[in-house]
Amino acid sequence: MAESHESLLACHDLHCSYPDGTVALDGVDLTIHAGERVALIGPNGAGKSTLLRAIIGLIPSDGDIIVGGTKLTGRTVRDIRQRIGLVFQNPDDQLFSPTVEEDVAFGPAALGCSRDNVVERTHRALDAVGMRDQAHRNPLQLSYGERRRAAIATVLSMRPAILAMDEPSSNLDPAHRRDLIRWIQQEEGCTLLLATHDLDMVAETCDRVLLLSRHIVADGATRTILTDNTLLAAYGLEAPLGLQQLRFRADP
Amino acid sequence: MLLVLGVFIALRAEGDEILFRMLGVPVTTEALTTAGTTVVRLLAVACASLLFTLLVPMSHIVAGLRALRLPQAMIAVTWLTERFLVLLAADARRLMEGVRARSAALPLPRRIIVASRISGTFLVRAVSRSERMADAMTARHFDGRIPLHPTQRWVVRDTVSVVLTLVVIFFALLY
Ligand SMILES: Nc1ncnc2c1ncn2[C@@H]1O[C@H](COP(=O)(O)OP(=O)(O)OP(=O)(O)O)[C@@H](O)[C@H]1O
Ligand SMILES: [Mg+2]
Repeated sequence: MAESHESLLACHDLHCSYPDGTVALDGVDLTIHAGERVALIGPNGAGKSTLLRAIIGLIPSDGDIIVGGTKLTGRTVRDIRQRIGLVFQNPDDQLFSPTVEEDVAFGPAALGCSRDNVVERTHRALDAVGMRDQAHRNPLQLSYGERRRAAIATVLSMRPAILAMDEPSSNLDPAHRRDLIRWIQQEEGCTLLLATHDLDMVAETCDRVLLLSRHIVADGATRTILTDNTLLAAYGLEAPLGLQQLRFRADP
Repeated sequence: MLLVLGVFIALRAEGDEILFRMLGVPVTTEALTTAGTTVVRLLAVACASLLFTLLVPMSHIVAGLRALRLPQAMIAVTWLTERFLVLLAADARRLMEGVRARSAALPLPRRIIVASRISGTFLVRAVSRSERMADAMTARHFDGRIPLHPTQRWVVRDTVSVVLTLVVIFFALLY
């Protein structure tokens, strides 16, 4: 594995417990390089969401988190949140503004972008998730899948160096799931960290898979991990049925 | 609530001409008039305020407050309070739907017990909702200043709404 100073995101011996004593992460080590597309898979309760929240400092953790050479501390947390955009697992935790458009514009405006830039970013993000025509609606009145897409747009508009998404494809209808996959495939150069149970999407969008169960139990090329039925079964996961027909992102 | 207030005033206010007795307490013409006008005034003020919040979007209010050069913290508190209450109301609605969907078969006394338990759950949810809202905002670089979408600004219509509201409140309190 490459040295951490070359990496965009590195965690060393990361531990994380909740106030009730639940140990969610127990010695996570991982390194992600710029431009990589990494899937974070694991059974329910494996700690995927906890890990994503810990790397942007939303929950306290022990161990080192280093983003672009900067160690996460109370002083650097704002800087790190500028580099990592996190789409929460539950869109209701993400959306808080009176209209979709205002919610999507909140991030870039808070970053201090110019007026025109905020508008341009907002429109592009809404277009990417096919929500431009719903821009003036109240997020509370959208369907779950629409809220999911709006939540993704709120982070896209911030153009983070690392895009971390927690279950982005859950509750999307097949057409919008396909749009999301296509969009992820097109965003070349963007570093992606996807926590998901959607292994078909992983095959199509990610080069590398991390299998998490409180710590990283497997780390390898997507094809290697997703075709290891014994490994997947041991962690309550299933290889996609149509795996043989699937086009892996790494395939020519 | 206004009605209770009205009855309270009617029972308490002084006067000579006794109209009738309620619960053994004499109700006078003056008291009844005072109660009536107070209730009508408050009702008018409440309606005007409601109309105002319906007519002027919160983001326009924020833009207006900012144009008045009020402190950022004050603007942020106004915005956060409104947002939090809206999200909390949505949570409460969802919680009640969940209860209603499963408690239809219960007899009324049991339903009341369930409802009182739910209020405890609701308080816990309110705290967690505030934490999640704070997380969502800090993850998007909120630093105490409410960023505005460029299209959101104070418009002539908002000024008209403010003037109308103030006129209603003025007359309600004067007459
Ligand atoms: N606020 C909390 N308080 C206490 N324990 C928690 C809290 N949030 C999560 N946990 C626990 O931490 C562990 C990891 O949870 P986490 O949400 O990270 O799992 P996950 O891998 O994202 O699961 P899923 O696939 O279901 O989303 C679980 O055992 C969970 O019960
Ligand atoms: Mg999760």
